[in-house]
Amino acid sequence: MSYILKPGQQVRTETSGMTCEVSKFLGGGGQGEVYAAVVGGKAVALKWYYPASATAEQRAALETLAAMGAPSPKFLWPSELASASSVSDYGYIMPLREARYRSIVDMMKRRIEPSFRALATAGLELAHSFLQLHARGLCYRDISFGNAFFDPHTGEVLICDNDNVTVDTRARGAVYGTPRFMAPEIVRGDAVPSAQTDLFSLSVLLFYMFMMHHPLEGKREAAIRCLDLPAMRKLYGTEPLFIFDPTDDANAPDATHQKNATIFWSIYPKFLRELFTKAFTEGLSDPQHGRVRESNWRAVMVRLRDSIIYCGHCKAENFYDADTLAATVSSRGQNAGACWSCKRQLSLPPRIRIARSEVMLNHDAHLFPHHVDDERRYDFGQALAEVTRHPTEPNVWGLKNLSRQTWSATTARGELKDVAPGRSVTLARGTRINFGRAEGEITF
Amino acid sequence: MPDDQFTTRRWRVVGHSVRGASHERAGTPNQDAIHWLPASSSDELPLVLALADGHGSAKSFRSETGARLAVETAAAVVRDFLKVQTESLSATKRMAEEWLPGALVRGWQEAVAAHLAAHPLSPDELDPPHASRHANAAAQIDSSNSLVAYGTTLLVAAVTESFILYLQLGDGEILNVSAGGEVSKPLPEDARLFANETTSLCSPDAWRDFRVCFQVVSHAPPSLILLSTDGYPNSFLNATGFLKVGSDILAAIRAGGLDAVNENIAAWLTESTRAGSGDDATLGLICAEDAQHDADASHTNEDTAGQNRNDAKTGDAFDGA
Repeated sequence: MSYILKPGQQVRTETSGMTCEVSKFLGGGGQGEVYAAVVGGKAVALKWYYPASATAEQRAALETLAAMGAPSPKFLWPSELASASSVSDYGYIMPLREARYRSIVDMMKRRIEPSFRALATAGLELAHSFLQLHARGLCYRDISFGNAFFDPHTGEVLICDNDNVTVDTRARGAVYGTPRFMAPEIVRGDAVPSAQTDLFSLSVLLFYMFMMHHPLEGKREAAIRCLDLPAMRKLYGTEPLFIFDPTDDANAPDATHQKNATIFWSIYPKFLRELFTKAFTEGLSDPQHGRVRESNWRAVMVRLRDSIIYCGHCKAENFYDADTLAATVSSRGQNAGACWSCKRQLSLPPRIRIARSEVMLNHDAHLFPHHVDDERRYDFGQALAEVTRHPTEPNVWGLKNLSRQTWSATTARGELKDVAPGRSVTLARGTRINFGRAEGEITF
Repeated sequence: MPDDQFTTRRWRVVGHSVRGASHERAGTPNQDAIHWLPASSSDELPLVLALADGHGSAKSFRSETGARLAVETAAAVVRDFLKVQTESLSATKRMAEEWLPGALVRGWQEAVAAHLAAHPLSPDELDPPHASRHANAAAQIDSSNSLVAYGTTLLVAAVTESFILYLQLGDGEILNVSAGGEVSKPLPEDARLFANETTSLCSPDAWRDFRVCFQVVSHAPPSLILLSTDGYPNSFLNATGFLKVGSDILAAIRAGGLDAVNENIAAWLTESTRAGSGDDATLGLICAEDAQHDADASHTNEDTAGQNRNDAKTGDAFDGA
């Protein structure tokens, strides 16, 4: 197969007037081809449009986006246009995606198997990124798992294909993407893409990442032989029904072909399931008020990450589900339930409750400004505390102060201690720690 | 999508499947299959070609049928899918990548279930009285995993006016040959396929294992698309030897026409399985009609049409096993 551009071929960037030399073909899509290239000694990505997609409208949209700049470094944003006398049409320059970022499609195909922690981090970063995009009055229009990449080890995300982003409410042009990720009102033809419809697509993307399945593809989809437009319109537009709708099981997952969804659904805590249920019940019928907002997803993703516990037997990640456990409290304390993987009994690690957070103090746990300072919510940059093991007593665990501020700790007996930077406080039931702006209590 | 952006090309498909030399000796059937739509020679697009390689192992004792059901189902499912795609190329690409593999697997599983209902596994199949071929099969196959008896790979190429779609599950080769004779593989390699291991339509969640490529016909589309089950490429000493077949066949088509090449395919395959892998071998070709008399054949050494073709199939490229 020949490509539009060849290695070594040079094009010119239109704003800075620099030479851009093509290194190699990276991939092709429906609109054009993407190449690795070099501009001024720096590796970049160059997308070149097919003739059918190289429209004047697309060019104008790219110029606007390049002038606005990226909402955050998470977006592989068009920086400037490129053209050449030797080849028709045009392209644009954007940052090159590092190899450590993998497609969510790779996860669907099990080429990568991220931890739940990485997945929750990716969910948090996606919600946060789209919040930043929408806050600038922009609309992505085409959120789907083909456009989001993440590092399977850390959960850091990158969002690609930003050339279809438009100013919200100006999106009157072509509708991109597939009905599978579109809000039902777009599939029905009742609305055009907007920040509000992006919210629906974001919910589908998150559901897909966590359940490895589409939220509306249950028995009804499994029965479809030919997924033509009328079938898609019905499934995703006129009669959408959540596969876990609490009041209607007419579209429940097919036991043979769709069992993954059911398996994953049961692993997650109730608060996550409830938010997905809202997204695909109220969010289907009430686009204005029923949709789950980016900020809701962000809060739930942090809570999910803070809820991870490890099975003492097989080490698998599980979730502390306070809502469900509350119903199973016995005289001997909470029954943490069984590990989803090895089915053996889980035991809970010490936990710390700080304002709105409850964090599982696993052996690898960290606390961040987000947890202890209301004015620095979602700041996960520098850890302020970490769980450590006592140097001489391996059964004793502590919380080490990594901040520059001295904490004050009060034990269950009322003893008051200072915890200077670099020092640790023993994890003991009832100990309260004042971090300066917030106080936390250790529970078992 | 403005149709006038694309020049309508005419395409033809030919292909053959031959029983492997080792299967002839063992008296087992050809467990490969090939099927295309439209079945009769016609200019109608989409054109869909499907090949399958039934596993033929002791557990997959119905893989001859599994392969046949795979190619028939796949050709129909892909054709029906393509006929209803009217949206943008981006949308079609996504549906092809995200939805179609699942539909192919479901279609095959249902065809297998219907065949099983009409022809339940017999005691002889599960516990053959004499042969060792099905040894231990009874212990391994029951109603919960009867799909394994039909296990097969699947390769599909589909040509429309504006794009070419490739889907592959398991081993086998799909090659593109450009007008200049340059040979390339549209699909990425699958690291899980090594030695005799293959992914299969009968695997749990088989849809995840599909490799899919969506190729827009915009700049320089291939002149020849070649699909082969692994019995053919495995007859070559190395991958390079097989890649050369692509450019050699295009040269042969230009030298003698597609019909002449078609008449020779079965003989080439037979020769290669006898001297090479011993496995069933199947080759399908989708050829752009303009490629047959492409004026720009200067990139290709026309002499290769005869001599090199023979070298590639019968000469030092064979491992002689």
